[in-house]
Amino acid sequence: MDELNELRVSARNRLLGCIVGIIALGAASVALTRQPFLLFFILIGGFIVSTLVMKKPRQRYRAAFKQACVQQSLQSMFTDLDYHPDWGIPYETIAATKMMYMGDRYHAEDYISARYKGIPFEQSDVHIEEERQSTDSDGHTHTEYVTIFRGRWMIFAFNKEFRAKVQIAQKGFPNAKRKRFFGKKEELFQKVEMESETFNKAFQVFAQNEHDAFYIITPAFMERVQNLAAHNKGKLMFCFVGDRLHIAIHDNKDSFEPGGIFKSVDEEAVMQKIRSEIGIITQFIDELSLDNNLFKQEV
Amino acid sequence: MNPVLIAIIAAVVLLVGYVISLSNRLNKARVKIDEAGSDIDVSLTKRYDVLTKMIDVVKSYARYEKETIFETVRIRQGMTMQEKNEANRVMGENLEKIHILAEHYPDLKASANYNTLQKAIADVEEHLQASRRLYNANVSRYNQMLVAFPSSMIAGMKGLTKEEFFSAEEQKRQDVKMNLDL
Repeated sequence: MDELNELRVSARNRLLGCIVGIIALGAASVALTRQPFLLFFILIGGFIVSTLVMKKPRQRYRAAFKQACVQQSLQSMFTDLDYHPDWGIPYETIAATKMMYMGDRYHAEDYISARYKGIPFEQSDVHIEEERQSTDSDGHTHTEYVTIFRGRWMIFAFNKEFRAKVQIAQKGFPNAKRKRFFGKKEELFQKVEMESETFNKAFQVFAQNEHDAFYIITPAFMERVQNLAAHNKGKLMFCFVGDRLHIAIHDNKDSFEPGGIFKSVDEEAVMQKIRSEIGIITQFIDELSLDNNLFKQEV
Repeated sequence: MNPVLIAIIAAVVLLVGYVISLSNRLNKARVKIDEAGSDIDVSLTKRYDVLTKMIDVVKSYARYEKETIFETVRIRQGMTMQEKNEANRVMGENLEKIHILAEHYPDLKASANYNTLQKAIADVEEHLQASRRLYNANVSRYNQMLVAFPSSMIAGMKGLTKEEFFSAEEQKRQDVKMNLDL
């Protein structure tokens, strides 16, 4: 933790040096040339130079934080851990579910592959953006990227065997996608109304086969999904594909990140924050009783 | 053309369209009940198959058990809901007897075969529950349409009647007399 603080202080001092340098240069140039417009160019140039100068120290601080705090906490919670801060769940894995609109730009990081209570899982932070173009009154075209999903994507081994794909999307979850109207008959999704009106009000269920939807989504499971939704600030989507359960939490959060460089590292607070971020993974396994393998067998 | 006449024709067309749409909704609801009913058949058959395997496994243990008697179950196509309920009840009772028997024979309870079948029966029962819930959800929606106006009028004209629910596992326990030759 001392080493982490040293890296933070070093990064902070470098940034302060940049700021002081820019101010001094600006003041000197205005005093000497009496041309205030120079200040504008110095600020722009200073910002670019500061960004370049700060890149490495920030990366070192971030890498040290992930190594010292995140990796350590993950190791204490999980077995068979494989953690890569700069990797993510591959684009193809999520696209293959065919249950999420994949936009035009995809970024993922903080890849974790491990086991909890014997259950293998993968997770990473995922950011999906869509390119949008607009034309102003002068006829100039502007391109911007708009976030369509930002949050966690987790993949768990599921404890029941089923054939059809099933999706539960909390109302308000953005850009959930189902291939409803085109494709082979057995691939088509149909909206499924569960017997619980409360559940139907909060969630939408789509499935390739109604029986499998009712098989997976038992009354107890519905209750657990509702509990999880109540305890998570983001919107949830559950996709059952093959023998895997994909869970997406759209909460606009980037987890396992260090705080700002101007605030000293409070070990207790940092570890508490990381534990609560890890707790989101364990919460889903515990609440959904994914370690109960009663229904998985070979006859 | 007289505007009043146009309005009347439009109203009649709309009314006929609405009646056809309601009639179609009732037809679709009936089809969904039939599909869900077939789903119950599949699940009952799976339960029957696993139960038969379980009985084969426990038979040798039960040979000297005078009181352990399994009731005959018959599964066939085209069973009424009442017959399905009855078959399901009997299978539930047979399973209960197998569990009681296993309690008396630790060797049986510990055997790999028995444990595999126990897992299989848990899964099969879960499938049966899914089929039951799906069927009953469809029956509930259909029965609601039969009593709600204006679909109740169309249902009356078509002579549709309420559908029977598929009961949850029969709670009633009764002595069943039969021999061991299953």
